[in-house]
Amino acid sequence: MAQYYESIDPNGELICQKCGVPFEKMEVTLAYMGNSFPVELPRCPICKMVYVPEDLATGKILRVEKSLEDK
Amino acid sequence: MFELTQQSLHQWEALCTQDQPPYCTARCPLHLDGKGLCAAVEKGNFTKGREIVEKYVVLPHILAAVCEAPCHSKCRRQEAGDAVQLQLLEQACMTYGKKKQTGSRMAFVRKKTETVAVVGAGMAGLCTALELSVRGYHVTLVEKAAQPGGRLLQVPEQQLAAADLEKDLKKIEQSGIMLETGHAVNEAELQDLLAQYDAVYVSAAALEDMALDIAIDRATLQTDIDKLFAGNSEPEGSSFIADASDGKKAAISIDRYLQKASLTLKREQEGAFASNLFTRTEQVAPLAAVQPQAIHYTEAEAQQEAERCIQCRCTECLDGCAFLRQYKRYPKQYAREVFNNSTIVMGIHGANGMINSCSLCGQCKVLCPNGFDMGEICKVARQDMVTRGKMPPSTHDFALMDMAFSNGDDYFLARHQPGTAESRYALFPGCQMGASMPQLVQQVYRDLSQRLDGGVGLILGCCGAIADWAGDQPLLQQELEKIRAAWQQLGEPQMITLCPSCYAAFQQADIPAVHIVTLLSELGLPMQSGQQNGVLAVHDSCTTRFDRSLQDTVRALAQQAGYTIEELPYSREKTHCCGYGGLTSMVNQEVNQATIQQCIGQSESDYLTYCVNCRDQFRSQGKTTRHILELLYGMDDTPVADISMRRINRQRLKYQMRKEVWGDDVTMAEPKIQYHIADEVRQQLHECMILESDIIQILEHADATKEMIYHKERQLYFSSLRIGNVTFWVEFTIQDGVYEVLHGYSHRMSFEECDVNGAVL
Repeated sequence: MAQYYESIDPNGELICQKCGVPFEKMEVTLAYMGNSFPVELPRCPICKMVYVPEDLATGKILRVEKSLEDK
Repeated sequence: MFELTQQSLHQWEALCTQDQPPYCTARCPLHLDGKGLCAAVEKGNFTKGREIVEKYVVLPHILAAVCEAPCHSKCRRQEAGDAVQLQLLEQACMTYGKKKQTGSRMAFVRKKTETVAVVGAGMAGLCTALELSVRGYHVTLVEKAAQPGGRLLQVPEQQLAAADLEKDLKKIEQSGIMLETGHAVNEAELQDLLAQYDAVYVSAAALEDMALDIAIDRATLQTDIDKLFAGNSEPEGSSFIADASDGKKAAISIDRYLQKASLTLKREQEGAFASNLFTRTEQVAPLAAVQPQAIHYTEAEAQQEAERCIQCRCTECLDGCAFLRQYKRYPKQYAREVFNNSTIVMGIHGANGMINSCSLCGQCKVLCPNGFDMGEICKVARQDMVTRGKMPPSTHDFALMDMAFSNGDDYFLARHQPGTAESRYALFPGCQMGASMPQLVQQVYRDLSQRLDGGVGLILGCCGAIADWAGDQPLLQQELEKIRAAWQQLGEPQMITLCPSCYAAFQQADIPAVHIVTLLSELGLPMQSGQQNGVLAVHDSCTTRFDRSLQDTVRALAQQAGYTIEELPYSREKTHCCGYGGLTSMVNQEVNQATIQQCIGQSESDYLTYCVNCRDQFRSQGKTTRHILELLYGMDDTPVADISMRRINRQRLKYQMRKEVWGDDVTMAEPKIQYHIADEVRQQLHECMILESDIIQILEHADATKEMIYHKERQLYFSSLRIGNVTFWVEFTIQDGVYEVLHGYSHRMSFEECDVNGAVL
């Protein structure tokens, strides 16, 4: 089983307006400055649109960005 | 400019005297920490004071009584009263401080196998023996008299109590030193000692008893006879403190000799030396020495005397700069951190944030008695980071995008005055004046084009200062060349700048420029300026800190307009940066806020500036601040524009100037969607550095593609878009076709293998 840096379940709350289907927990690879991180995020199963919640963006993602920038 | 090499680091480090010892410590041959002692006694902590004395002095009771106190003559307190009576304070510490029970220096020292004989148990011999014993050697102390002490035995009881002498002499036995009294050593016996021991020390007094012709190296006390070290009776041989220092020096030499280390390496600052520490005493209120009622101080008297210590230290630059204070260290340490940061190959560059938080304003160079310039160090470090691809991409991204905006189609413009084919002058408002007060720019242009002959052209753009601050020299040259080409296109007119940074940048680039206030002082005040009154404190601009004439002109014009001028403590060449310079305000909010507070905290009066950034920075924190042009052109209060408004203002300025001045047939592009952003949301977006134009782009994209995510429970939508190197997210609702923006956030990470959200494929 893949090791994910983060795993977020949409719990059926998120709907893709383009495809009209609920988001599902799916693998996404986040990338920055030549590094990539497999995560599980809410995603549209049809058009693959990803949802990044604010907590993640301004929390863990920001911290990782900063530490990669200072490497 | 310089390179980040070890050699240049050492040159920088040498300029900062912060870690030089205070004058008393440097003059004391044993380097007793007089400042630390006073700090402890001032708080009534005599035990701590005693610890300090015992740390530096092996015969603390004796020396506290008999020391000739050479420190006294160097005490800077003398410039405001009498020198601190350190010797009396040492005595007080030995009297009132508790004896340290555990953890004596000796407890942790590994016993060594080597043996040393010390001949002569006067002050020098005693100190040599005890210092060697502390270092773990087996010491035999030989004295010709019946008891140890030498000249100390002749000191009157009133000065050195027999009990105190006894306390310290007990240490001989406690240390495990073998004491042989009543034993005079002659030349022949010395040979025996040399054969028997690994090293021998003979005090100056004992040496006189021997008919020995030897040469002594004064720096190490090593003699030309192997294993033999000898006391140095000159030039300070008659003082107890010199003898104590001599004993310590001999012990260090013998230790090094026995450990087969260099006897001469790094001994320059052993014994008394001159400190370079800069200490200001002008502001110190004079205070006479506390005289003891009896022979010695009471505890209260000692505390009172210790309070008079001015705690010598140099805080010239720290007092002036919020950035330097932020990291709780001082420039010498910062310089080392910056240099280390540039040489790390693997691992975290921990000083990046610090390097990018300096405003590069040069104030520290002015304030430092030796001209230490943290700004230059940080600037070179930034350039180095950019060159090596090590500048964190997010640091200056927003500012550089903003510069690209200023020198792009939305703002950039270069034209002759309508109806003319040449320009003797060209008004260059700069990026931030256009961003902050576009109406003022229009008013100034109208005024100048009416009152100046020979044509007044207009160049809208950025002088490149932002690239310079970001450490990107190639980009700076590129932007400057763009401005230079525009200037040449207009026939090389004299540039009239509204911003001191542009003015300084053009001076450096050999583009003839005049600051607007200089021009107005020659031309006369504009019609709009009515007679006013009140007091204004002038905040000088940091980029022109040495331009006395510009500073005088600003003051004169404000006075002409009816104001009384107040001078701030940090003015003219000493002025603070407002926090905008060096892009501090974009990089480090904590330093930015502290910087602004320091600036505006200097006076209760309203401020006058001649840089729009200073004005906006101060006003953002509620300080009533007026730009000199606001006064002279009778402008009403203009609120501080947020980051979005600063772009819109530039676009509108160009649009309105083209339309109204040149009569161009132009239209401003309108958003393809209807939207609304409440004030508190605007503030949130401003703080997260999300532009209204970014929001519009996301909503237009969402509207066209329906790439929106609906959150059922919260009943709102999310949409995102990759713009430049950032993915922006917006939360919104839609009511009657109008997008109501609720919140925004962003991240720089992208999604791999993803065909929507504008991410990498």
